Amino acid sequence: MKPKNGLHWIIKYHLKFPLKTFYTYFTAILEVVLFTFPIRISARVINQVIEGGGFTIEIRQDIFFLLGLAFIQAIIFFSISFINEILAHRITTDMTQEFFETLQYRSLTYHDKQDVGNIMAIATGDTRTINIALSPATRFVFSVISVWVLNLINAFRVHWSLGIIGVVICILFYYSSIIYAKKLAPYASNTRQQFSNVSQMTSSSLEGIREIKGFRSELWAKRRFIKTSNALQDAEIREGKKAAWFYPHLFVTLYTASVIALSLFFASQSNPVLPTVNLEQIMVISGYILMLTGICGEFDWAMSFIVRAKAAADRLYNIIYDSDLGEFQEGEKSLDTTSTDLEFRNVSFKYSPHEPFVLKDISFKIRENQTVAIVGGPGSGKSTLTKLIQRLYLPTEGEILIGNTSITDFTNQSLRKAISTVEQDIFLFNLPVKDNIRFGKPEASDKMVIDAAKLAEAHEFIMEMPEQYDTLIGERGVRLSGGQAQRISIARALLINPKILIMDDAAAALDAKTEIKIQKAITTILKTRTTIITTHRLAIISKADKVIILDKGKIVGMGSHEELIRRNHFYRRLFEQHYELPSLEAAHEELLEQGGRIF
Amino acid sequence: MLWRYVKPYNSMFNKLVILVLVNVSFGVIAPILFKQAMELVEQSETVAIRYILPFLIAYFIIRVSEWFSRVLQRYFSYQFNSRITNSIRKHVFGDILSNKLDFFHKTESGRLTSTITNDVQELYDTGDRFVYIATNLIRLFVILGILFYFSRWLTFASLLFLPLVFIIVFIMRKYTRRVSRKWRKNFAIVNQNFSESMRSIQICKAFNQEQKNISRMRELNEETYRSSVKRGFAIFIIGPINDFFRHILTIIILVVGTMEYNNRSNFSVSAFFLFIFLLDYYYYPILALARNVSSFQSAFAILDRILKITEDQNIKEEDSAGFRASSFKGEIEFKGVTFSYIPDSPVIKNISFKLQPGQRIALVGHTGSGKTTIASLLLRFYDVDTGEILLDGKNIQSYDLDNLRKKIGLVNQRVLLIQGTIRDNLILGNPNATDEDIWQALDAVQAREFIESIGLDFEVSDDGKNLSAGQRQMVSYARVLLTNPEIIVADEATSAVDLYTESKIQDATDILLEGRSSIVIAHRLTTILKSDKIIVIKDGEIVQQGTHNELSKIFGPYQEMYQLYFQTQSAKYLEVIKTS
Repeated sequence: MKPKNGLHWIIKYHLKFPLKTFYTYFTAILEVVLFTFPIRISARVINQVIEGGGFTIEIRQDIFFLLGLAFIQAIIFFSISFINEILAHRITTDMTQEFFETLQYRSLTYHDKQDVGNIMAIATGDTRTINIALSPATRFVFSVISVWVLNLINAFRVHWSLGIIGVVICILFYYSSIIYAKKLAPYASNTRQQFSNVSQMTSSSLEGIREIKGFRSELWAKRRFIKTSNALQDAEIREGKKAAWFYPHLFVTLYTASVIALSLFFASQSNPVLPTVNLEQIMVISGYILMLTGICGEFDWAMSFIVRAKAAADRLYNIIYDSDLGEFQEGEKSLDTTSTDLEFRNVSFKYSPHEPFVLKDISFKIRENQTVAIVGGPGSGKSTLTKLIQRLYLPTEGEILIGNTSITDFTNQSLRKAISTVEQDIFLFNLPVKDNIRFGKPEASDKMVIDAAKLAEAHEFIMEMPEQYDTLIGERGVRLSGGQAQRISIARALLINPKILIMDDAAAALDAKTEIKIQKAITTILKTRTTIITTHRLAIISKADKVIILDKGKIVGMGSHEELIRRNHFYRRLFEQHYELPSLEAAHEELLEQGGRIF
Repeated sequence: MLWRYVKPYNSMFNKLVILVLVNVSFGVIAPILFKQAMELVEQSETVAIRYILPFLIAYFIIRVSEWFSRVLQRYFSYQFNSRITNSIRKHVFGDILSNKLDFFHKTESGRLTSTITNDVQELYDTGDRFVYIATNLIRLFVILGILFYFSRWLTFASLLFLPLVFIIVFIMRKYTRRVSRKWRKNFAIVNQNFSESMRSIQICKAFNQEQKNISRMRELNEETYRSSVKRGFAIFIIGPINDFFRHILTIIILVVGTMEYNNRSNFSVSAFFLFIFLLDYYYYPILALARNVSSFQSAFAILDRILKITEDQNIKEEDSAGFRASSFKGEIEFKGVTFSYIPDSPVIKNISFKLQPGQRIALVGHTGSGKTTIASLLLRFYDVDTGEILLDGKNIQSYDLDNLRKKIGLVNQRVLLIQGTIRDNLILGNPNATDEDIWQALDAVQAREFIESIGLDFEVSDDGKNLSAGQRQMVSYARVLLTNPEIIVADEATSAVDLYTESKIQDATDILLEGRSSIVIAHRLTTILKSDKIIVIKDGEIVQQGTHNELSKIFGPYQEMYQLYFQTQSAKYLEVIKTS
C-alpha cells in the first residue's frame, strides 16, 4: 500500500520493527519516572534527618535502594538510547537503499529532469536529518511530555490551582514550540544554502586558480568570495537572532517560578483555606521542576529537527513515489541469436511531450557488420539517435528493429549486452583502471583487460602510471587527460565484444597519431560487427560503408562519402567551410614538388 | 593568532562576557533566595506575608531576568561567532590566493575547500560550545564558593569524586571519536558512491549495471550501518555512566550531609537541600568540559592548519613592486632555461629561442613534452631553475608580477570557466568592462551568434558543462581580448568541434593573435602554417626549429608529425572537394 505522505511513510518503516519501536518510545516515558526516585528519596532522607535519630534503618535502606537504582537506571538508559539509535540507523539505511534502488530503475527521461545536486542533498542531508530526528529528537520529545505529565500530577496533588496553571502553561509551551520551530526552519535552510554557496564558490575558484592568476583577477575573486561569505554571515546572524528568542522557554520559566513561589507561600501560611504543604513536598516539587527546566532547555533543538525531518521525509517520499513518464516494459526475447541488421522505421523522437522533435521521421537500414558514420552539426540529433538504439529512450513514433525484431521485444539484459558504446561525455569511475575497463563485464580476466587496453592504445600510458592497472582513477586518484580517458572508454567498450558498437564522437579528444593507431588496431574488429560512428573527422567518415547526414533531426543525405561529396549540398557545405585553406593547398603542392612522402 | 580576529569585535566580546556573568549571577541568586525563603518556612509554622512575599516576588523576577539575559547572551554569541568565523574565512581565502601555483598543485583542491568551509565552520561550533562551557565553568566556581561557605566537608566530599568522572568521560570520548571517524568515513563513501551512480546513470544503464550498482550500494550501506552501531554504542554508553555517577554523588551528599547535620548545629536543612538542588549545576559542567576538551584540541589543530597555508612565506608568490612597464614591445627571449617541478627531474632542459615583436611562434610536440610548462614559465606561474627569460630585454623577474600578467593574455587548452554568469567569466581579467565592451569583444572574435542566444546573464554550471565546446572557446577568446594584452600565450584546444564551429574558432584565433607577439601551443596544421617560427619540443628539449617550409623538407620529427596531420586532416579529400 502506498503511504499517504512522508510522515506516514516513516511510520510504515517503524512498523517493520514493532518491538524496537515500542521499547524505545514506551521506555522513554518510563525512564523519566525512574528519575523521580532520587528526588523523592533525597527529600525523604532530609526529612528524616530533621526529625532526628542519625542514620536510621530507613535512611540506610533508602541509600541502598538508590544504589540499586543507579545500576538499573544505567542499564535501562543505555538500552533505550542504543536501541533507539540502531532503529534510527536501520530505518534511514533502508530509506537510502530504497531511494537509491528507485532511482536506479527510473528511466533516463526521468533522470534528465533531475538535478544531481538536489538528489544528493536529499540522499545525504535529508536522511541524516531524519536520522537525528528519530534518535534522539523524537525520543526526547516523548521524555519531555512525560516530565510535564509528572509535574502536572504533582501540581494537582498540591492544589488544583497549581494544576490548572500547569496545564495552561504546558499547552502554551507545546503550541508555541511547534510554531517556533516551523518559523525557524526557513532560516536554518537559508543558512545551509548560503553555506553550500560558499563551498561551491571556494571549490570553483580553486579549480580556476590558473585562470585567476593568469588574468590577475585575485582581487575580483576575493571580492566575489567576500560577498558570498558575508551572505553566509548574515544568514547565520539572522537565524541566530531568531533562535536566541526562544520564547517558549519563557513559559517554562513562568511555570517553575510560579509553582515554587506558590508552594512556598502555601507552606509559609497555616491558613485553613490554603492547602498545607510541608518541606518534603516543597523539596519534591522543586526537584521535579528542576528536571523540567533542564529537559525543556534542549526542547527547541529537538523540535527544530523534527520539523526539518518532516520536510525531509516529504522530499524523499515525493521522489520515491513520483511517476516516471519514460518507464517502459522490457520484452522477453533474447538478442543472442538474431542477426544484427539494424533498421530505423519512421522514427521520430522528442525528450518530453512539450518539447520539439529532436529526430523526425528517420528511416534507414544497416546490414550486419557494416559501419555507418553519422554526420551533422551540433544539435542535429546524432547522439540522441545512438541512445535510441540502446533503448535508453523509446522512440515517440516509429520503431527500431534489430534482425527484423522490434527492440522493444528484447530483454534489457540481452539488448544492452549486445550493444556497447563509447560515449561523448566519458564517465570513468573512482576505481582502479582495470575495473574501469571491465566495467561491463566484471568477470573478465586481467589478460582480457590488457588485450582490450592494447587495442585501444591505452596499455602504454597505463603502464606508466604509478600502480599500472591498479591505479585509482578520478577525484581520489590520478587525473587523466581527455585523450587518455577516451582510450580507456574505448577499451571498456571493446572488452564486451559487442555485436553492435556505437562510438559517439569517440575520437574527439585524441591526438592525430593515437587516433590513427587505434583506427588501424580496430579495423578488423569493425569488420566483424555493426558499427555506428558519429564524428567530424574525414578520415573516419571516408572508411564507413555508409554515411548518414543529419540536419535538425532529419536525414538530409545518405550514401557513400564519394557520392555525397559530389552530390550532396549539405555535405559539401560541412567541409567546404572548414577546408578552404589556401596556404595548406600551397604547402601541399610545394611538398609534392619536392617529392616528399605524403601518403 | 585568534586574538587578531577577536580584536575588531572587542566591544561585542566585552558585552558577551558581561552577559555571561549576569546570567550566571541570576542563575545562582535564585536558588539562594529559594533557600532563604525555605529557611523562613523551616523556622516557624506561619510566616507573615510581608516577610515571605518580597522573597517570592524577587524569586520570580530573577528567574525571568535570567531567561532574558540568556536570550541576550545567545543573541550576541551568535553574532560574535559568525562575524569572527566570517573574517577568518575571508582572510584564509584571500591569503591562499596569493600563494604560488605550485602550492595548488601539491594541495588537493577538495582538501583546501574543506579547510575554508568545514573547518572554519567547526570553529564556529567550537566558539558556540566555548561560550556554553565558559558559562558553566564560571557558574561552577561561584557555586562551589557558596557551597563551601555552607559546608566545607560536604563540598570536599562531592569534589573528590569529580576527577574520576572527568577521566572516565575523557577516555571514553577518545574512543568515541575514533569510531565516529570510521563511521563518517563510511558515510562519505556511501555518498560518493551514490553521487557517482547518479552521474553515471546513462553509462550504467547502457552497460546493464543497475543490479550490480544496487548490490554494491547495499554492501556499502550495510557497512555504514554496522559502523553506526559501533558509534551508537560508544556515544550512548557515556550517558548512562554519567547518570550512574550522578546517583552515587547524590548518595555521597546524603550520607555526608546527614553526618554534618547531626554534628553541626549551624548546618540548616535548607543548606543541605541546596547541595542536592544545585547538584546538576556542578556535576554537568565537569562532564561538558570533559566531553569538549577534544573539540578544543581540534579547533587548535584547525587554526594551526590555517596558519600553515596562509602565513608560510615560502609558498607566497613574491609580489614586491618591481619594474612597471607602461607597454611592452613584445620581444621575448628564452636563454638556456631549465626547470623542474620535482628537484632533479627537469621537464624543461636548456631551452633557448627568441621572438621578435609581433611574431608568432608555434610550439609543437607530443603530450607531456613540456610545451605547457614553457607557457607557464613566461607567465611566471613558476620561476626558472637556471637560465633566464627576457621580455623587452629585461629579465621577467624584475617586472612587477601584476604588470607582467596583465600584459600577457592566456588562453588555456581546457577552458576553465568559473561558476557565475557568462559576464562574470568574460570580465575575469577586466572587471570594469561594460556590456558594450563585452559585445564589442565578442563581435571582434565573431562570437556574437554563440553567446547571443543564451545572453550574458546565463549561469555557467560547474565546469561549464552547460555550454558547447564552441561557446567555451569563444568565451575564452573574448575574455582575453577584453584585457587587451600585448602578448598572448595560447594553448590550442584539441577537442573536436563541428566543422562550422571549428572554422569560426580558427578565424577568432587569427583576430586574437593579429599584431601581437604570441606563443601558441599548436595542434592544428592551419595554426602551425600561419606561424613565423615552429619550435619542436621533445622531452623538454628543442629538437628542431624553423619555418614550416624548412622543417617539412628535412627528415625528422616535424616531418613525421606533419604527415600524420596531413593524413587525418585529410588533404586528400580536400582535393576531392576542390575538383568536384
